[in-house]
Amino acid sequence: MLKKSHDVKVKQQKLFIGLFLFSIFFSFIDLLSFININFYPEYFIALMVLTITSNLISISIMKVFLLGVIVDILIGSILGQYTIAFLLLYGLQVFSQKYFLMPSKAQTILLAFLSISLGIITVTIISQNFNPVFYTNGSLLNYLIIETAITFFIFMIFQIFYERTYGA
Amino acid sequence: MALKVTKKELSLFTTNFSLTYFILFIFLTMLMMFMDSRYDYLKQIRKDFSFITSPLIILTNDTFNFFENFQYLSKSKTLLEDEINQLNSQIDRLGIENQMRNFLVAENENLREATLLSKKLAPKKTYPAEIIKPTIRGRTQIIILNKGLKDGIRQGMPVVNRLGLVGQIYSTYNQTSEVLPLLSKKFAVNALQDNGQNHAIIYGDTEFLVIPFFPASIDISLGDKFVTSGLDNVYPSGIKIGEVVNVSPEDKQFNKILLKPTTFSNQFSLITVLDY
Repeated sequence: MLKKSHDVKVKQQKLFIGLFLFSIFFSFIDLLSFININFYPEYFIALMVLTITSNLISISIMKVFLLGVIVDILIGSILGQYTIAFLLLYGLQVFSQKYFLMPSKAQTILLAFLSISLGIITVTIISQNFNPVFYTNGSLLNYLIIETAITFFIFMIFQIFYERTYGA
Repeated sequence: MALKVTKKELSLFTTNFSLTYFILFIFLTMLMMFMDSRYDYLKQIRKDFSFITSPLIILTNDTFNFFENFQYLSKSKTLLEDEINQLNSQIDRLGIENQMRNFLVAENENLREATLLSKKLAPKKTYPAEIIKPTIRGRTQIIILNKGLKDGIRQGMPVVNRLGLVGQIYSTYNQTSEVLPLLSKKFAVNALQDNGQNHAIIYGDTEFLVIPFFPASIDISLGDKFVTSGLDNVYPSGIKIGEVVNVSPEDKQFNKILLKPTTFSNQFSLITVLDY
């Protein structure tokens, strides 16, 4: 892995804090309801996938766990919902590093997509079991597909911000 | 010459990742989930951390209000004049309705006094409240009221609107409170069929209300209505809950009954909290 300069590290730490606050704020706003769509993008899953795959901040299993607990307190249906999702994302990333030591751009995007899907499936399954207070007209599968697509879109926006931290 | 490598270098994970810690944290998380599912710790933790979440809720609500106010200000003068005319006619209509209502209230009061039921059934106090933003927390739909502990709202108070039962106060903070809606899986209420004959406990089930085991020997048909029985001493009796939309046999002895709620939480922005 390429070594980051001190400036880049500081920029990326600031970006992480900014995106974290952005995720908290937008997790409380039903943004898509203005166009009559009841889907809630998983901002925290997108942020966590970016953090883990791009090494946005230096991450350890303890930090992943603590971040998960904080997110659970803020928006979780049950304590541990996001924690387990984040831990699984972390596990998937470490496992994939074994097979993709120098992944191409396409492989990185595919991995991010798979990670987002895994995160959303985990969070949705737990939500369905413990607090299914969201009302959807379509099937759960449709819900998952659309939600994954929206979250992946959010991830791509986060990724653009991340790439800008390296400058021109 | 053979290269000597340590056992650690041959392991599956050659990064600083520890599989033992990973399994330990997964186990710890599952334990947390189990404990929270059983003892509802998250509710208490959220209360303790409300000094962090309350500003968030206020900020979200203020943002929405700002945009709504901005939209409102940008309306043209003509539109506002039309609105004033409409509101004036509405005031007249409501004034007439109010006169009729006053008469009905007085008549009702007399009847209650006559039957000595007034003190027993009427709620001690009512608190009008408004549903405010945010309406979601992550992926969960929530109902937040603009009244909290300082206004006298307590956990467990019933919440109604003019069509029927909306839910129950689930959690109270200093300035706001959170409502557990009828359709939540955590919700249950003692109910009575509106003909006054059959009691049942109704549960929330995401899209419908449900009576899981209703004796098959009792005749029940689609469109039958259920109201609160008042037996639980939580809800006053007679508040509309829902009407039967489906009856399906569970086994030889019981039917499963699905009910459509009389009202949905987001139907009106103004609701009433009862101190019962």
